[in-house]
Amino acid sequence: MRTTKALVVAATAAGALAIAAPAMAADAPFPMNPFPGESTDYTFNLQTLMGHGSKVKPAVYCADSSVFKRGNQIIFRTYIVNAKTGKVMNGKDMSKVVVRVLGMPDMKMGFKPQGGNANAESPWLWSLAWLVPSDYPLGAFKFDIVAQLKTDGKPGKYVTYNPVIPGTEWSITP
Amino acid sequence: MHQERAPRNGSWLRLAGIAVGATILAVALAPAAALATAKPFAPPQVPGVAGLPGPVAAPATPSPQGLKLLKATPDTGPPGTPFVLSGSGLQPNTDVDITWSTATKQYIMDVVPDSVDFYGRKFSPMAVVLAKGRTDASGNLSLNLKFPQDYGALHDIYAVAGGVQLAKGGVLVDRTYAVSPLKGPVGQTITIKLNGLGWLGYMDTVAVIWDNKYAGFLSSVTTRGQATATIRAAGPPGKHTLELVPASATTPFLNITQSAVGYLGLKRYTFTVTKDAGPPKTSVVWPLDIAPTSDEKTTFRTTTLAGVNAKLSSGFGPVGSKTQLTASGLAPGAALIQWNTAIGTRTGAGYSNSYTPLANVTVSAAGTLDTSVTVPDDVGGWHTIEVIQGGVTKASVAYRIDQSLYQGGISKTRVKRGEHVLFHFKGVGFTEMDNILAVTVDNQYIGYVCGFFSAGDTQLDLIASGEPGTHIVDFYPTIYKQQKGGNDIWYGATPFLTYRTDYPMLALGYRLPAYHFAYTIVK
Repeated sequence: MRTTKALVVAATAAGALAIAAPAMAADAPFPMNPFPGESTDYTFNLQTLMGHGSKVKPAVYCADSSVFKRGNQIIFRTYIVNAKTGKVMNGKDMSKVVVRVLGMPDMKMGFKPQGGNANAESPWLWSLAWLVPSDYPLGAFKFDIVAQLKTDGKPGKYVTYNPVIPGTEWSITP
Repeated sequence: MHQERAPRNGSWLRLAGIAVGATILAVALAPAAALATAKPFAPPQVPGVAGLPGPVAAPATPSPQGLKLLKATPDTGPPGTPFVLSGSGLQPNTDVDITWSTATKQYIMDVVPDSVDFYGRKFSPMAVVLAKGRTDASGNLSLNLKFPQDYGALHDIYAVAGGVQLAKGGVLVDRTYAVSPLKGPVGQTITIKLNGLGWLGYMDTVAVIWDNKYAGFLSSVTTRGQATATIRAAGPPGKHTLELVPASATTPFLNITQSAVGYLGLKRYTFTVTKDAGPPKTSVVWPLDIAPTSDEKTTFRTTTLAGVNAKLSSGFGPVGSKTQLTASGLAPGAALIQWNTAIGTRTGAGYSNSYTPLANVTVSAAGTLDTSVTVPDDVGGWHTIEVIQGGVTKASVAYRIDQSLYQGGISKTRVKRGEHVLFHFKGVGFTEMDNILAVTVDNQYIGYVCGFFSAGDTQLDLIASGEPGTHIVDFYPTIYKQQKGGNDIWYGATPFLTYRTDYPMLALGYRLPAYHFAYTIVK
């Protein structure tokens, strides 16, 4: 299995390099080798991190991980990029973006500044914090992200991102 | 007559003049052949080790409508834990298979004429059908089940109908520890039993630490999460610390609780050495009598010709053993009994096979042969005995030299500090999994001894050091090295404490013992 660092997920698109969060630059190559990729109109550059809202304290907050304990808070955050134009899709471009976690209601992501600090340098991206319930099933952790585009100001088509990396798996542990 | 093979890891010519107790009849040079013959070997059946916990499940894919949750109550416990598996919102009145994620594990080896090379472990994830159930008219499911005897750690559970995964749950199969006894004199045998070790790396081996000293590791690669081994109490009377720590693959991972698999945990015990009653008797402990799963052998074997039959009265024994070779279908007249072995070194000069005449014999007018063969003082492991007539190998049979103690194995058991103690063995092998013995002194790993270059004769000259009292010295089978072609975490040369039940070469019919000695330093 790859290391935790390898779990910075890049859907595709070399252009995503330009929008990588600065904090990640020294921490992990970004994006991971995206080849062979699939032809796609939109790419997702996803991270799952240890949130400060964890009831079970992680060793380090905001660390990328694919392994979470019950009681950890998972921060899902992603850029969504129009693969044809390179445009980073913001809150005006999307009708809604949700994380679908197995067995849970859809959870809406917000388009926010990274870390919640709105200053000039803050990168904005789609994010969501979710506390892993104390009785959530152990083992492989399945989720995907569904984004609904806005077309002419109205809800448009859906784009689904199912994060799958061969040899790697998100998991929930005790 | 002979297959040809180049010496490996060096030039054979540099071995000129080396006396290995064998006359080299032929060492043919040829380009090193591609050795891409490493493969996983089926695990032997070990008494008390369960098989797969159910029939292999057919492949299944997630429901396009999304999966529901399965709840396991409790969802954590050792093998055998009863639990209730429940779910709701499923298709009503539907038969489902409850699948359990698990794996098979195998050792990867390459059996070649002059070695058996080690390439690591292979695991193959899979799912088995743990149970069958049926949803009620409201789409609810409730089943009373047990955690099966299987590898431990995390297991995914799915409810599957018609190849479609409808719901998912998961459990943690905890590992269990049993250490007994927890007090006794110096040299007391301590049994360590583990269950529920996982199938992934970092999960299937556990290191033993005694008073902050590394003593070796237990492994459950081919024993589906179960591992049993013994160590011996060491040190002066008083309290001592015994720790069981996950390893990767053989090295203790001391802070694994900070890792992604921190839930594996570790276990600590206090052992009380009650007294020093002097050195216990030397003992040799052999593996369980486990049937091999492969008949692949080292050294060159040529096919016994049609119409010729040959057999040995015994196919194994220590050096100096006698075995009766009988054959029929031979040509009347002269024949040569030839011994196939391996000679050389892995320290640079290289190694290869060699062929040694054992005896000139006469085949009867009826074409039969009945002669005693004395097993040479040679490296251990599998060899071939050939019957040759007119330059043609008429028959070949396999013989395994087992290790043995030479003159009791230890030169003295009462010494003064600074005196030397000699440990002496015969029949240590030539492959990468039987050519060395890992050594511990007072449960501290100090290195290894090798018997290849010295034709199986293996000695350790140890200086008696430490405080007055009894000190224990143990020798264990181990893997000399792991081939670069392997993709596993490094194995190499440390005590393989579960050699009796989970050692790669058990699949090939090898039997490698551990040796237990002790000496007392007197004032």
